[in-house]
Amino acid sequence: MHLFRSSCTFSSSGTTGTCRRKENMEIVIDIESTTPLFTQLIEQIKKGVMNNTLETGAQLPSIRQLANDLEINNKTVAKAYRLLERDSIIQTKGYRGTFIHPDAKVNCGVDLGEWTHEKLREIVNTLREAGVTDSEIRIAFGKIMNNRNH
Amino acid sequence: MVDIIMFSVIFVMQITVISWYFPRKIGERITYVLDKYPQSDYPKLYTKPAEKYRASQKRYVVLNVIIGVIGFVILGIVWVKTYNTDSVISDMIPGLYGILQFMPFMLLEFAEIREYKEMRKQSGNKKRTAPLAPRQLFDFISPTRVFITVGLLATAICTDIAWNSGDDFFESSGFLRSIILLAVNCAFLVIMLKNLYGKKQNPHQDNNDRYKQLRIVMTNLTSISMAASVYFITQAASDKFALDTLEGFLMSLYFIAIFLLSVGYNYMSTDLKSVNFDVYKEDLSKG
Repeated sequence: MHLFRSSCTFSSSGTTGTCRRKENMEIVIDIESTTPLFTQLIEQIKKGVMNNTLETGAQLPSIRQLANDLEINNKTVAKAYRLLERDSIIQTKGYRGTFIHPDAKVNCGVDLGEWTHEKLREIVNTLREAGVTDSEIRIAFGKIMNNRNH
Repeated sequence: MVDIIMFSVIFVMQITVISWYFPRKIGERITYVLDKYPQSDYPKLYTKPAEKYRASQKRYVVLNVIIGVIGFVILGIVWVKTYNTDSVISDMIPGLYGILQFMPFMLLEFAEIREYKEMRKQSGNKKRTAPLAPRQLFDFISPTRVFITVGLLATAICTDIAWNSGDDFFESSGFLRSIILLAVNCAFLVIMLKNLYGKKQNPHQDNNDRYKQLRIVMTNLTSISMAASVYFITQAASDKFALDTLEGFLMSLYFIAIFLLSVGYNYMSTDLKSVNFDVYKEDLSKG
């Protein structure tokens, strides 16, 4: 029967078969939390990278698999993956799947939200020094955000 | 005479294995779960009062007994009709009877699907978990098994077409059987993919238990596919070499094999003591 033995390495305790899978990280989402679901996913994947539960090159489940397992919309998982890819925490290699980026651990330390806040503060300060009023800044900011082509 | 004796032996086996031995074992297992994991301690395991499950279990056992009796009546009729005659035992007899025997198991499967649907509806889990690792076919079955399954399928189709296609290829029995075999294997593939990537049917099931179940499903389906291919090869041989007298025997043997590879394997591979029933306790859902 060795011929038919799967190469898998799953399940730890009490398995009836011979397969053993190394312990994988489990993701937990709270559907009643005020934190958006995609943020919960991002935070946990980043946490997994930081504490080495998710190693560089480790493969992540497909969007569809994770969405089905968590019983959430595919788009939610896709959004989380897209943002993680933008931050170079994960990388998609075509049909081969999604993997943890080689520089994920370093990139986890980079908080794009914090960086954006800092940049905007610098610009606002410069504008204020030039004598631009807060309401003029707000109007200009609103125009830029509403019309991204300009 | 030898034909009917051979057929009787295998048909009695078909009756006892499918309609007596395993239904009894499955009935005992249902009773074990109901007794060992009562509704008061494991409320998430039940979607309706426990008495209803006990009543269903009794109905299931009685239904199988009735089907078993019908089997012996059929065997008696076969003896009367074929004893000391040249009549050939049609493969339709064990075939149609086999389908009847599978009915209670099908009903059990449908009941299980309905049960999981109701579980999902009643489930108030605010927290959902998922393993952060991809599931792939070869995590659960070996490439060798898949290779042999596909190889046997190809062999069955090629053999049948080569031996039995005749002048009109599209109306030949070989072509028809090949289409059926392909359709069955496509259905198996869909079931495999649905199990692998689809939604978790049981909302409370432990991930380790799910992996074990997936392995059983994959092994089951590939085994059944292999058995079906072998059976179709024997059918092709039977047509080619005019072995009509063996058809009833082979069909009965096929049903026993299919049953043992599906329900039998499932039963023997599932060790209830290793299943995590704690997930059905009330306190785990809170928080």
